[in-house]
Amino acid sequence: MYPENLKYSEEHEWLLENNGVATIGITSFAVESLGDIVFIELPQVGAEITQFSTFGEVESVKAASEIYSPISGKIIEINEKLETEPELLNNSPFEDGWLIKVEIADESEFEKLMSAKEYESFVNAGS
Amino acid sequence: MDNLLKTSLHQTHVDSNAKLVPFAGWEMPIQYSSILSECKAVRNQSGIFDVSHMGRFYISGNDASLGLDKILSVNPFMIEEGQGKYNVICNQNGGIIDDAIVYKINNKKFLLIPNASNADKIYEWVSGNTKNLDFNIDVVTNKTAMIALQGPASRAILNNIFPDLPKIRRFRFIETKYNDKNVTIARTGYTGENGFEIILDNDISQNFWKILVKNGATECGLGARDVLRLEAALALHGNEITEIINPFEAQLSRFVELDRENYMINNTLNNIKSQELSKKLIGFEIQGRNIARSHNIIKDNNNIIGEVTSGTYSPTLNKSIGLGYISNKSLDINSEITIEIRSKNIPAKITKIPFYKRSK
Repeated sequence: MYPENLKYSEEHEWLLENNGVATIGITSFAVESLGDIVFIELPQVGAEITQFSTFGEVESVKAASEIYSPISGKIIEINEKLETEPELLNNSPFEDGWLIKVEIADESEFEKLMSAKEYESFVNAGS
Repeated sequence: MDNLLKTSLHQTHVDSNAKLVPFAGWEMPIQYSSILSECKAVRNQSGIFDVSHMGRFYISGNDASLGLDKILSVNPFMIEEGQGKYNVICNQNGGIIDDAIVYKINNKKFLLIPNASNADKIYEWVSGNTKNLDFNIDVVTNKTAMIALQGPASRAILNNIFPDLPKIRRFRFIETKYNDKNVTIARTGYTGENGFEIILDNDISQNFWKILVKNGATECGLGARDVLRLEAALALHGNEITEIINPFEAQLSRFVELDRENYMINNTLNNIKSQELSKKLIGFEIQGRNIARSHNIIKDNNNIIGEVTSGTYSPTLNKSIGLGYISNKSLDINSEITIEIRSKNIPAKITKIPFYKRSK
């Protein structure tokens, strides 16, 4: 049920690696527990982020939630569409609802992330 | 969720894939599809809410009016038969134990609707203060269902189900039949939209709910209800009103009828009314899209002046809105304030409430 080509964190972020660049977003599980998302706060392009520290916030009608980076690196792009269309996160969390693209600092950090199968068991164990 | 109470509509919610959560001891739907789309349905067409968790107390006896006159903030003798009135029930200090609607069937029979979370407390308070009177309380909360049908299409939908339904004015109700069973239809609600609240027997509630859906009503949960009531700046007990807030602070003075001999706290409330209030309820709009939440701090130039009671994103206005109390009385509509949200001071502006008012 979770895309096989992505890596996952315990804070419910996903990461897609492509030529040293990671596209990062939050999982369908996170989106469903938040409900309707109305606001996403993201850092500027150029900001440095660290694995498992917070880099942004998501506000839904029901609750606010911090977003943690699954990887360390420098932000090279943010999804600007989200400013006017926050619902992209609800409608397409693994594709159109991506949050940021990061130049990966250290690929060995992947070891601390989960595969789709592992993430699925992690989610099922928690609920 | 084993010990939670279930309304007679519970299976309907399960069948519709509603997200169920514990609320005031009940397992209730918080949303079906999405809070935002449910809000939209109510503002543009119609939505239905299971509000069977709210208390339903039939009050009867020769002293029914007298007993309620002791307790309610409104005068039950002055309510007309077939009329309902919003009111608050205050403790000895003038703090609000609950807000409720009281419907007058006749001088000796009333229906009182307290909030789910306060129903037990209100039962104790009402029965405790009417002990020596001919005053009976019949709790029918578990025997009946209550469905709120809200939105501009509400009346048209009712016409399809009850072809001979007379006009019901705002805050009036009628008693009629559906499948030979008694049904009470009141023109009341908690969304700021035109609508009705319908009380009916448990055994016909699922059928009635499905007929409403068939007639175009969208199933809505408590999440949408909270957003809609906040857009209409209707108080929520536990947030805007509590046992340490009096009705004057909560801007509810129009629902307080004083100079009544029987009213237990007539003098207390007269005293409070004659003094300057220590805080007042305000509405605000946040600049930007952060959302204020209950207990966020309100500041005026870095001075703490109060606290948020409710906040949400308003889909109808496409703005971030909220309610709260401030101690600084010199601030008024358009004054600039800040709300502290996760350690950041977010600019906001005091605005007039209600945020949303339906066009007539």
